[in-house]
Amino acid sequence: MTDAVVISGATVVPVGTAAPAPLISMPELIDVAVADPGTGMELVIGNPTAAQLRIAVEDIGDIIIPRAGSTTVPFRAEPGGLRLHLQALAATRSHVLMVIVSVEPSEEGPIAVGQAIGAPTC
Amino acid sequence: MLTRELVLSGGARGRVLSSSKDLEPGVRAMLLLAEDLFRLDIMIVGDALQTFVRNLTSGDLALAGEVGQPQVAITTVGLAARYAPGRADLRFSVGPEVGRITTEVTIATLRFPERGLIRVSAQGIVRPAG
Repeated sequence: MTDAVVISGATVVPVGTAAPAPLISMPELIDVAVADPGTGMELVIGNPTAAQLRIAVEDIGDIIIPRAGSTTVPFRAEPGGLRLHLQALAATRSHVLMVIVSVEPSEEGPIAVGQAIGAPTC
Repeated sequence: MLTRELVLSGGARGRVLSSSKDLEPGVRAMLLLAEDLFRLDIMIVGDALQTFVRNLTSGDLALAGEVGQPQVAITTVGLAARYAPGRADLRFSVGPEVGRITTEVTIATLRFPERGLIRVSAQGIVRPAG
Protein backbone atom coordinates (compact mmCIF):
# COMPACT_ATOMS: atom_id res chain seq x y z
CA MET A 1 0.00 0.00 0.00
CA THR A 2 1.29 3.46 -0.82
CA ASP A 3 0.06 6.49 1.09
CA ALA A 4 0.83 8.94 -1.69
CA VAL A 5 -2.16 10.95 -2.89
CA VAL A 6 -2.80 12.48 -6.31
CA ILE A 7 -5.42 15.18 -6.76
CA SER A 8 -6.30 16.73 -10.10
CA GLY A 9 -8.39 19.87 -10.42
CA ALA A 10 -9.53 22.22 -13.14
CA THR A 11 -11.70 25.30 -13.07
CA VAL A 12 -12.53 28.32 -15.17
CA VAL A 13 -10.48 31.27 -13.95
CA PRO A 14 -12.74 33.98 -12.49
CA VAL A 15 -11.97 37.47 -13.76
CA GLY A 16 -12.38 40.82 -12.01
CA THR A 17 -13.83 41.11 -8.55
CA ALA A 18 -15.08 37.53 -8.38
CA ALA A 19 -13.70 35.44 -5.53
CA PRO A 20 -10.83 33.10 -6.32
CA ALA A 21 -12.02 29.72 -7.59
CA PRO A 22 -10.92 26.68 -5.55
CA LEU A 23 -8.68 24.41 -7.59
CA ILE A 24 -6.99 21.85 -5.35
CA SER A 25 -7.29 21.15 -1.66
CA MET A 26 -5.18 18.71 0.32
CA PRO A 27 -7.08 18.46 3.62
CA GLU A 28 -5.15 20.06 6.49
CA LEU A 29 -2.17 20.69 4.20
CA ILE A 30 -2.79 23.27 1.49
CA ASP A 31 -5.58 25.01 -0.40
CA VAL A 32 -4.97 26.32 -3.89
CA ALA A 33 -7.30 28.71 -5.73
CA VAL A 34 -6.99 30.79 -8.89
CA ALA A 35 -8.07 34.31 -9.77
CA ASP A 36 -7.53 37.08 -12.26
CA PRO A 37 -8.24 40.40 -10.55
CA GLY A 38 -7.57 42.21 -13.81
CA THR A 39 -3.82 42.47 -13.38
CA GLY A 40 -3.02 38.94 -14.49
CA MET A 41 -3.72 35.42 -13.38
CA GLU A 42 -2.50 34.41 -9.97
CA LEU A 43 -2.54 31.51 -7.59
CA VAL A 44 -3.89 31.99 -4.08
CA ILE A 45 -2.18 29.51 -1.77
CA GLY A 46 -3.82 28.95 1.58
CA ASN A 47 -2.26 27.38 4.64
CA PRO A 48 -4.92 25.61 6.73
CA THR A 49 -2.37 24.13 9.13
CA ALA A 50 -1.65 25.28 12.66
CA ALA A 51 1.94 26.19 11.80
CA GLN A 52 3.64 28.27 9.16
CA LEU A 53 3.98 26.58 5.79
CA ARG A 54 7.18 26.90 3.81
CA ILE A 55 6.81 26.54 0.08
CA ALA A 56 9.38 26.65 -2.69
CA VAL A 57 8.18 28.08 -6.00
CA GLU A 58 10.20 27.18 -9.07
CA ASP A 59 12.18 30.14 -10.42
CA ILE A 60 10.81 32.38 -7.66
CA GLY A 61 12.17 31.05 -4.39
CA ASP A 62 10.96 30.25 -0.90
CA ILE A 63 7.80 31.75 0.55
CA ILE A 64 6.56 31.42 4.12
CA ILE A 65 2.79 31.38 4.62
CA PRO A 66 1.72 32.09 8.20
CA ARG A 67 -0.65 29.66 9.90
CA ALA A 68 -4.24 30.00 8.73
CA GLY A 69 -3.03 32.58 6.21
CA SER A 70 -2.63 32.79 2.46
CA THR A 71 -0.36 34.31 -0.13
CA THR A 72 -0.75 35.23 -3.78
CA VAL A 73 1.75 34.21 -6.46
CA PRO A 74 1.49 35.39 -10.08
CA PHE A 75 1.74 32.79 -12.84
CA ARG A 76 4.97 32.62 -14.80
CA ALA A 77 4.86 33.05 -18.56
CA GLU A 78 6.69 30.17 -20.26
CA PRO A 79 6.87 29.18 -23.93
CA GLY A 80 4.02 26.71 -23.38
CA GLY A 81 1.84 29.22 -21.52
CA LEU A 82 1.27 30.28 -17.94
CA ARG A 83 2.43 27.84 -15.31
CA LEU A 84 3.55 27.42 -11.68
CA HIS A 85 5.35 24.57 -9.92
CA LEU A 86 5.66 24.60 -6.17
CA GLN A 87 6.74 22.28 -3.40
CA ALA A 88 5.50 22.48 0.17
CA LEU A 89 6.63 20.90 3.39
CA ALA A 90 4.05 20.67 6.16
CA ALA A 91 6.18 19.99 9.22
CA THR A 92 3.23 19.54 11.55
CA ARG A 93 1.89 16.63 9.54
CA SER A 94 5.16 15.29 8.17
CA HIS A 95 3.95 15.59 4.60
CA VAL A 96 5.52 16.88 1.43
CA LEU A 97 3.64 17.79 -1.67
CA MET A 98 4.18 19.24 -5.10
CA VAL A 99 1.65 21.22 -7.10
CA ILE A 100 1.76 22.06 -10.79
CA VAL A 101 -0.79 24.45 -12.29
CA SER A 102 -1.09 25.79 -15.82
CA VAL A 103 -3.63 27.89 -17.66
CA GLU A 104 -5.22 26.32 -20.73
CA PRO A 105 -7.38 28.03 -23.36
CA SER A 106 -10.95 26.80 -23.80
CA GLU A 107 -14.25 27.91 -25.28
CA GLU A 108 -15.37 28.79 -21.74
CA GLY A 109 -12.36 31.04 -21.23
CA PRO A 110 -9.03 30.33 -19.54
CA ILE A 111 -9.06 27.17 -17.44
CA ALA A 112 -6.59 26.55 -14.64
CA VAL A 113 -5.53 22.91 -14.62
CA GLY A 114 -3.68 21.61 -11.60
CA GLN A 115 -2.31 18.43 -10.16
CA ALA A 116 -0.92 17.76 -6.71
CA ILE A 117 1.07 14.83 -5.35
CA GLY A 118 1.31 14.47 -1.60
CA ALA A 119 3.05 11.87 0.53
CA PRO A 120 3.99 11.34 4.17
CA THR A 121 7.66 11.54 5.11
CA CYS A 122 7.47 9.22 8.12
CA MET B 1 13.01 20.63 -10.75
CA LEU B 2 12.68 21.47 -7.07
CA THR B 3 14.73 19.76 -4.36
CA ARG B 4 14.51 20.05 -0.61
CA GLU B 5 16.28 18.37 2.26
CA LEU B 6 14.07 16.53 4.76
CA VAL B 7 14.50 15.47 8.36
CA LEU B 8 12.77 12.11 8.62
CA SER B 9 11.45 10.30 11.65
CA GLY B 10 14.33 9.23 13.89
CA GLY B 11 16.39 12.19 12.69
CA ALA B 12 17.52 10.56 9.45
CA ARG B 13 18.14 12.85 6.50
CA GLY B 14 16.22 12.54 3.28
CA ARG B 15 15.34 14.56 0.25
CA VAL B 16 12.24 15.35 -1.77
CA LEU B 17 12.45 15.99 -5.50
CA SER B 18 9.68 17.17 -7.79
CA SER B 19 9.40 18.05 -11.42
CA SER B 20 6.86 18.47 -14.20
CA LYS B 21 7.25 18.40 -17.97
CA ASP B 22 4.96 18.56 -20.98
CA LEU B 23 5.97 15.81 -23.38
CA GLU B 24 5.01 14.67 -26.84
CA PRO B 25 4.06 10.98 -27.06
CA GLY B 26 7.09 8.78 -27.69
CA VAL B 27 9.61 11.33 -26.46
CA ARG B 28 11.93 10.28 -23.63
CA ALA B 29 12.85 12.96 -21.10
CA MET B 30 14.53 13.25 -17.75
CA LEU B 31 12.07 13.80 -14.94
CA LEU B 32 14.05 13.52 -11.70
CA LEU B 33 17.77 13.71 -10.99
CA ALA B 34 19.41 13.00 -7.64
CA GLU B 35 23.06 13.86 -8.09
CA ASP B 36 25.38 10.86 -7.69
CA LEU B 37 22.38 8.61 -6.97
CA PHE B 38 20.01 8.17 -9.91
CA ARG B 39 18.34 9.69 -12.91
CA LEU B 40 14.71 8.91 -13.73
CA ASP B 41 13.59 9.24 -17.34
CA ILE B 42 10.09 8.76 -18.65
CA MET B 43 8.40 8.09 -21.96
CA ILE B 44 4.72 7.69 -22.81
CA VAL B 45 3.63 5.59 -25.76
CA GLY B 46 -0.11 5.22 -26.17
CA ASP B 47 -1.51 4.30 -22.78
CA ALA B 48 1.81 2.92 -21.55
CA LEU B 49 4.06 4.90 -19.25
CA GLN B 50 7.66 3.68 -19.33
CA THR B 51 10.23 4.59 -16.71
CA PHE B 52 14.00 4.31 -16.98
CA VAL B 53 16.13 4.43 -13.85
CA ARG B 54 19.81 5.13 -14.42
CA ASN B 55 21.93 4.07 -11.48
CA LEU B 56 24.65 6.66 -10.79
CA THR B 57 26.13 4.81 -7.79
CA SER B 58 28.70 2.05 -7.45
CA GLY B 59 26.08 -0.27 -5.91
CA ASP B 60 23.29 -2.29 -7.47
CA LEU B 61 19.92 -1.01 -8.59
CA ALA B 62 16.94 -2.92 -7.17
CA LEU B 63 13.47 -2.19 -8.50
CA ALA B 64 10.47 -3.05 -6.33
CA GLY B 65 8.14 -5.11 -8.43
CA GLU B 66 5.23 -4.46 -6.12
CA VAL B 67 4.74 -0.95 -4.79
CA GLY B 68 1.19 -1.55 -3.65
CA GLN B 69 -2.11 -0.04 -4.50
CA PRO B 70 -2.82 3.51 -3.38
CA GLN B 71 -5.58 4.03 -0.83
CA VAL B 72 -7.19 6.44 -3.29
CA ALA B 73 -5.96 6.14 -6.87
CA ILE B 74 -7.01 9.50 -8.24
CA THR B 75 -9.14 12.32 -6.92
CA THR B 76 -10.63 14.55 -9.58
CA VAL B 77 -12.12 17.97 -8.87
CA GLY B 78 -14.12 20.26 -11.15
CA LEU B 79 -13.33 19.98 -14.85
CA ALA B 80 -10.20 17.86 -14.43
CA ALA B 81 -11.70 14.66 -15.85
CA ARG B 82 -11.51 16.15 -19.36
CA TYR B 83 -7.70 15.98 -19.06
CA ALA B 84 -7.71 12.22 -18.34
CA PRO B 85 -5.63 12.24 -15.16
CA GLY B 86 -3.54 9.17 -14.39
CA ARG B 87 -0.91 7.99 -11.92
CA ALA B 88 1.82 5.45 -11.40
CA ASP B 89 4.07 4.57 -8.47
CA LEU B 90 7.48 2.98 -8.29
CA ARG B 91 10.11 2.23 -5.70
CA PHE B 92 13.78 1.46 -6.17
CA SER B 93 17.01 1.29 -4.21
CA VAL B 94 20.54 2.21 -5.22
CA GLY B 95 23.91 2.54 -3.58
CA PRO B 96 26.45 0.42 -1.77
CA GLU B 97 25.46 -1.76 1.20
CA VAL B 98 26.48 0.98 3.60
CA GLY B 99 24.59 4.14 2.73
CA ARG B 100 22.04 2.49 0.48
CA ILE B 101 19.01 4.64 -0.26
CA THR B 102 15.44 3.92 -1.31
CA THR B 103 13.33 6.25 -3.41
CA GLU B 104 9.57 6.19 -3.70
CA VAL B 105 8.21 8.05 -6.70
CA THR B 106 4.64 8.96 -7.57
CA ILE B 107 4.03 10.04 -11.15
CA ALA B 108 0.89 11.86 -12.23
CA THR B 109 -0.25 12.60 -15.77
CA LEU B 110 -2.65 14.91 -17.56
CA ARG B 111 -3.42 14.85 -21.27
CA PHE B 112 -3.84 17.93 -23.46
CA PRO B 113 -4.98 16.56 -26.83
CA GLU B 114 -5.45 20.04 -28.33
CA ARG B 115 -1.74 20.66 -27.88
CA GLY B 116 -0.72 17.05 -28.52
CA LEU B 117 1.08 16.95 -25.17
CA ILE B 118 1.02 14.93 -21.98
CA ARG B 119 1.99 16.56 -18.70
CA VAL B 120 4.07 14.25 -16.55
CA SER B 121 4.71 15.32 -12.96
CA ALA B 122 6.61 13.42 -10.31
CA GLN B 123 7.50 13.60 -6.68
CA GLY B 124 10.23 11.40 -5.25
CA ILE B 125 11.15 10.90 -1.60
CA VAL B 126 14.72 9.74 -1.09
CA ARG B 127 15.51 8.13 2.26
CA PRO B 128 18.00 5.70 3.78
CA ALA B 129 17.10 2.10 2.97
CA GLY B 130 16.05 -0.29 5.69
